[in-house]
Amino acid sequence: MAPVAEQQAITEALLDLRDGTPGALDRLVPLVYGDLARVAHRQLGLEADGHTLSTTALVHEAYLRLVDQTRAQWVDRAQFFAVAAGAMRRVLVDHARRHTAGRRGGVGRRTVSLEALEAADSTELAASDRADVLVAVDEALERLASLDPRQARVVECRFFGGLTEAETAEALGVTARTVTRDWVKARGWLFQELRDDAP
Amino acid sequence: MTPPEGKPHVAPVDAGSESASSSGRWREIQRVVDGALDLPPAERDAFVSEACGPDVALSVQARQLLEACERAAGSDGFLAGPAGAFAAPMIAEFAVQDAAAAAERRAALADALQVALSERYVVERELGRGGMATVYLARDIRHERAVAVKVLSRDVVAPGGAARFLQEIRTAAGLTHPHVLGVHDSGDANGLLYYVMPYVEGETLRTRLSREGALPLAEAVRLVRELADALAYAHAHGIVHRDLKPENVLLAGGHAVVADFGIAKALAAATQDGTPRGGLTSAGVALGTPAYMAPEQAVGDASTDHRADLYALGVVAYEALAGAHPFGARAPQALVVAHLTEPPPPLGARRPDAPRSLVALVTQLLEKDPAARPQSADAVLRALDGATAAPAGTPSRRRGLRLATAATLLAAASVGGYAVWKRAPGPPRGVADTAPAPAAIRTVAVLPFVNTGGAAADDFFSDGMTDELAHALARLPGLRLAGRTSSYAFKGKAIAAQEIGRVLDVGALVGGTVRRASDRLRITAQLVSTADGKVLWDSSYQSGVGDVFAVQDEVTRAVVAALTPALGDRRGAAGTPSAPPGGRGTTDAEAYELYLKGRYYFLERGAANIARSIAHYRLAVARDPAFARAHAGLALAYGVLPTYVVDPTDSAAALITASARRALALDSTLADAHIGLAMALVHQLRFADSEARYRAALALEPSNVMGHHGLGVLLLSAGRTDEAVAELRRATQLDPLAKSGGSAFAMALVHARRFPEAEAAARRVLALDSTFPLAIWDLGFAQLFGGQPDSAVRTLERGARMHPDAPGQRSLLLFAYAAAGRWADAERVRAQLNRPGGDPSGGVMAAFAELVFGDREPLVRLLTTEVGQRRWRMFGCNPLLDPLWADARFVTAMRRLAVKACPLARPWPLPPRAGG
Repeated sequence: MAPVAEQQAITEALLDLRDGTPGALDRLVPLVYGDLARVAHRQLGLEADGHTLSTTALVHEAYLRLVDQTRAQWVDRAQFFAVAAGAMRRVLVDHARRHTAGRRGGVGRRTVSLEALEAADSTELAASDRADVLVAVDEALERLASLDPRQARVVECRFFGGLTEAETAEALGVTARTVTRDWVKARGWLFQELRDDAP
Repeated sequence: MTPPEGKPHVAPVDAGSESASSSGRWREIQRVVDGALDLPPAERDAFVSEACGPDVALSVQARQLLEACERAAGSDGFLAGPAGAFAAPMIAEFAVQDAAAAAERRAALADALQVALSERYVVERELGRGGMATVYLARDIRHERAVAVKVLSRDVVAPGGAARFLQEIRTAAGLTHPHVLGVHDSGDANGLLYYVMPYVEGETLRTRLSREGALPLAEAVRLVRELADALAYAHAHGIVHRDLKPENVLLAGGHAVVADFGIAKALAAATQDGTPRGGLTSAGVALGTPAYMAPEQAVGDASTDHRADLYALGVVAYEALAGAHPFGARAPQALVVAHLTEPPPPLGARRPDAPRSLVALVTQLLEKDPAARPQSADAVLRALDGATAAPAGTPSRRRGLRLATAATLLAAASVGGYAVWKRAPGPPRGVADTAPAPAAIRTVAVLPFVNTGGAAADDFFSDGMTDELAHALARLPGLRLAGRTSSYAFKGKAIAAQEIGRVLDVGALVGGTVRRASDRLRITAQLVSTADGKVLWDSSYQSGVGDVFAVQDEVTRAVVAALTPALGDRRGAAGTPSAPPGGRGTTDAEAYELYLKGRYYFLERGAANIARSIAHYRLAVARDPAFARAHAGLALAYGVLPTYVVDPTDSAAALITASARRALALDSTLADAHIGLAMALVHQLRFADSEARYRAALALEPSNVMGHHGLGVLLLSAGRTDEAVAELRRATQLDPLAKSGGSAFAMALVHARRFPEAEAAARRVLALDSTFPLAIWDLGFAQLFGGQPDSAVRTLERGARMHPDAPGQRSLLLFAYAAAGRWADAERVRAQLNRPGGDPSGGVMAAFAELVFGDREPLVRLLTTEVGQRRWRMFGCNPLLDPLWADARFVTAMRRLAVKACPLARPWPLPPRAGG
């Protein structure tokens, strides 16, 4: 049956991830995506109102479920955080994209107003602007990944996964200093890439 | 790998240009930027120049990135929080938008159906909705009877599925049995597949179980017998139900009627893409309901037969007896697994009073292997005859069922066993589509109905619908209704129910949409829990525009009925929930429309709107002189008029009184009319009579914000400060976003000399509207007497700049200047007031100015005359009047007005006018 094959694939990918096989993470995300998406959706639905979305709680719950499902006690929790961050990114961006579809048909690079970019915590920002920012960040992150995969991964963990610098360092197997520096540079690059300089 | 596109509008060289995409170039830029970031900001530029040497392009790219890094790092907002927090408001709003779009689609479906069926049926409203179909209440024109029309969603019908669906429906339509809901009619209406059933008044077994849990033994047994009877009949005609569940069992007059016989198969036929398959198919599996699905059906066994219905009967019987599903609340997949592998928990333990043979029968129905179950519904009926005759502990002795169950129930109740199983968990979550009745909704806000018709001119009508509903709900005892201003603050805003619930402190929201097309009216209404944003109840209605009253009544009745169970033990007090409380008061649709427009303008406030309001109300009473509510509305409009228009003749009181008395003669239960009279009595300085009228109004409508507000201000003026604080606090609780109520509350706290609280209350209002004059006044007042004269000056000067024409603030500013020792400024204001036409208050302000400068005589003289008293009217413990309490004439005058002397009054609230 399909689910068994899927389980095996997950186990394989987890083993590869543990062994540091290149690409393991990328294979794992789509495999556990459905499950993570369900957890994420539930979390979002529950907590969207309070505007206090606990990404960390989401990641922990998703991790526990995966461990439970695969009985894979040896899964590295920190590494799994990176997987969950990727899943969170897809859930949020898919959601944003579904609602921006049709509104934005254009090709080419998407930019957003400076106001929207810097207004992360402002409650004033309209939903459509939030969606635009998320989609634009996602697309820019794709481009960053082709230039510098590690920087893109750091953004995924820090921004989409809500991980701390220390957790990100552990998840990606690099030093905290590297994460700090990558985060500064990636934010700068994204800022430059996303800002709408048109007068 | 696609190179990132350049930014065409950025002038010199671009960091994202083609050359940078080569990893070598990227690494070079990174190296330079890394090096620069290691240095203090001041040294970075020089470092970049040096590191890049002659490579100008590299230095430009590195500088650009570096600058962006600094900019991004210095920004608090950019990629600051976790994305989830950033997205949360978006998700909430999209959810609202999705809901609105879904409502629109549903409305369009109802319209399309009505058009297609117009010859035979009038579609009245939606009764329910599932994943695949929607059920409407309709009137069968030819036979003058109510029917339920079930329509398949267009997107579930596969090509060629329509013919197969109708074929299957025709087979099911052959059934006629007292416990089977027949099919009257079916067809394909412009691509909409539908079938028509009799409309059965009553509830489903699901609703009953959700509300009450386990059923009394006798009733449970009768129910199982009736279901078995229905199954026996249908099976004998070769029809298997395939989806028996409490949602499909209607309770009509206490008896079970099974709906949707053979529909599961018809749906399967409609949804399959034409591949002929024997027995059940994967699509068929998806169509069943996991919670009631026999193991063989769950795995799509082709030999699945009528015995699957017997398994479902076993689950329903178990649930009716135990008050809970045998496998509890689980995800659909987990339920399927449980049906396949888990034995149900022993029923005897969960329902100790059930006869052993009954427990044995239900257990046998739940056998995994069809061959181990009773082999036919007839066999179940025979077993029931035996089972019910043998209650627990008395095997094999025939005895009357009624006697046995009564005795066992009594025994159970006396030892507390009743309570134990009564409290057993409700139906499995995720199985029931209908949410259980809300536990305790005693507080509700009626949000403005959204006018989806597009014509802004119809806003008065959707608002009228809203107010009509609020008016009816305001009269329900035990229900607290949020104030109109606060509820309307959410008009046109996409805010999550939970958030609104938090702001307004209510348990549920009522809202909906109104669409007036040329000759049709469509209203949707919803009741939403603020605990979790779940829709507790919703429905839609339509009619011709001429039937507006009937539709309004129906909506009101339905909302009241939906809320009434939630009022728990107050249900009896609420009277019959089916009757809409509070009459409309006219049968003339045009007069009613004029009334709604009058009310709309009244609530918009402002001088011009009040004048328009009065004009419309007058037209309304001209058309229908017996229209009590229009008279009451007129009284209120006259009542607030002096706030906006200077009325030197003081004719308002007479106008208010005439309209209010007219209204009360027609309908003595109109709270608004009592409030109008109370306002007129305040104008006449008859405080005690006015209080009685306010209290009468509040007895009729305990949540009437205008009543609490008016009474509070009256008590304040009468010197009953503590009562006033309590009353105005109540008004602000009911209507937390109403600025005038919040300002009056702040003023009451000033009177109570609770200045820090008063300041906080004023600031709450200013947070809603930083320019609201009354709140600026309150804030300045609180600062002035709370020992912050300099802050008071700043506040009141700001107020005077914003509202140069508001007279009250000018004299208060004069007090503030005096308190701050700025006597020159105080002199300037006094001079302005003494200029001809400089005091719009008719001498009151000028008299206060003299008080500030140490001469209380002009003010005492003014406030001991009736004319002066009417112009001022705010007596009581007003700190501005403190020095007057030392004057015997003033004390006597106040006593005559029944104003209590102020125990908090200080001899002179301001520092003496020093030499400088």
